[in-house]
Amino acid sequence: MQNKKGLKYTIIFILYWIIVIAPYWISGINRITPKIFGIPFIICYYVFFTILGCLNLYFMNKNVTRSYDKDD
Amino acid sequence: MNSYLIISIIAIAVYTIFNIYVGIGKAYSKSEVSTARGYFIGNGTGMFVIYFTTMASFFSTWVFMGAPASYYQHGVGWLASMAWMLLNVWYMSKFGTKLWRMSKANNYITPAELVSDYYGSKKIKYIIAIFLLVYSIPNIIAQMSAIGTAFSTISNGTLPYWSGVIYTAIVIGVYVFFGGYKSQAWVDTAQGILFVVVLWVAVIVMYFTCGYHGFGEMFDKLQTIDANKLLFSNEGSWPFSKWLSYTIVMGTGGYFAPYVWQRMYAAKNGKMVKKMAGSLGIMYSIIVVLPICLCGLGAAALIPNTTNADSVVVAVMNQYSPVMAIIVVIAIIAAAMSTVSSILVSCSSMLAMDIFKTLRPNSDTLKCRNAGRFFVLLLLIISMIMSFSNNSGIALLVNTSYAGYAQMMIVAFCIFFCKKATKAGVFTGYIVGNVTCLLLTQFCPWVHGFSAGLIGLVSNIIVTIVISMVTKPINLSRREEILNPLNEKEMSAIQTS
Repeated sequence: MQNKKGLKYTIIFILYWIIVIAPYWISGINRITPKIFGIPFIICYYVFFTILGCLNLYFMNKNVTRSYDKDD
Repeated sequence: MNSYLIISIIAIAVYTIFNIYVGIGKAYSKSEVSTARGYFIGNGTGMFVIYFTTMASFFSTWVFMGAPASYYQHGVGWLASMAWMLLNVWYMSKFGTKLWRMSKANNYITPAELVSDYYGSKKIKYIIAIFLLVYSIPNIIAQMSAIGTAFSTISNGTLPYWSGVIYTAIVIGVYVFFGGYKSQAWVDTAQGILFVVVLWVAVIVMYFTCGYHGFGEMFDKLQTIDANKLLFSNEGSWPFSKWLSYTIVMGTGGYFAPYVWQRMYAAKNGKMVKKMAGSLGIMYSIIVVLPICLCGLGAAALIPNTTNADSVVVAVMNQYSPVMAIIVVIAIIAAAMSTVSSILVSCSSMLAMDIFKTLRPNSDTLKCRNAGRFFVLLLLIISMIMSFSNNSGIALLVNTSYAGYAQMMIVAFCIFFCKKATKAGVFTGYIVGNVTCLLLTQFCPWVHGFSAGLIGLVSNIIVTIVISMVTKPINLSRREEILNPLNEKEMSAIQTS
């Protein structure tokens, strides 16, 4: 069960990597406009998906990583 | 003496007094430094300090110099750093609590102690300690040099380079010599908070007080100057191969650097490491890396033609807000000092525990602590002397350091996750990986767009797999015995008792 859960988060992590390298080949993502709060689209794209990547790591640690403490 | 110089000297004096107050006045504990473990990794660090000391140790002067310079010169390619920050934290999720538990159970202080214990070899301890020292000590020298330059910048040349180097050695020497890891970690925490706050203030100053009103106007200006800086490109300075090389090498090396590895040992409990791994991603990638991006690109819009890209943030501040320029330089000094002090404690622990104690096994904990203090002074003196020379070998080792640290990932992976890996395989791979990194960095740093570090890591993996296939793996019962602290039965036995 732990392993299956861990696998799910690892797959999402790999997906994150695919998403952040995509601008190299997908010109529809690699663009300046539309700007969000004045910040170019490509930077917002990176920040948005990196926040999602961080959430994935947060939940992976919460649900899968063992602390190896006495009460774990 | 002009007012700018007087303010600079007052700022340095206040910063120094604050460091000594935190390091000696608040953090120093006689009982804590009475054992080697207490001196080198403390007796259980709380969440707040372990969180910020890990962050501050990882980020050094490149936060204000190299990274904004990359955005300034080459555009958004450096956003790759967000991905490598997450890779770094992903490793923490996979290895962090395991390292903590192993250290707690077997009193490990250095990375080499765990590895040599697992493989039952003193030679391995020496090899790993020597490689880690070879990569770490030049970093002390590089950071001390950066502080020397910062001193010269902040005072417009009135304070010479050498005064900054000597200042660093004395201030860090005082609190690290007496207080060891605990003092260093507390000062690190204060320094980490300082440089993150200054980064965000620098962003606000750049985008809202330098003649522009927010991000929109600034990015419009940059778009008219050079729109390519706001786009990824396989043809420019940051092609995909470079993105991949940096992300893997920096993400991996950043976590397996000995001073970060030892932070896992230093935590009070496993839950803290787990919480840290869950939340450091946002800290690294958004709270630290995003303002670096905004500073670098903002500077490209404000002063597009500066010759010294490394000091572009200071140059912008000097032009638009001279007092803020002083604060930025103090933050650069803080970022450098936090890294120097972390590496210093880590290197002295490796010299004392991996070399001195292995050569003199009867040394008690106090002797090892005293040896550590001696090595702190020795390393500072050597680094200080080396900072005054312009040695290209040092630059080579600094450039290779993260790639060198990254080689430890294969070693750690084989211990915890791969029972078929053999001693011969892992250590031949480790040595081949390191030698490949060093030779390629010197003679051919980029091969078909991929970095020497990435090629070294791949060669390490290949050699480890091939030699492990033809040599005898570690005895399974011995493996179970060594990794016993991680198994369920052992855990429940502790719980019952």
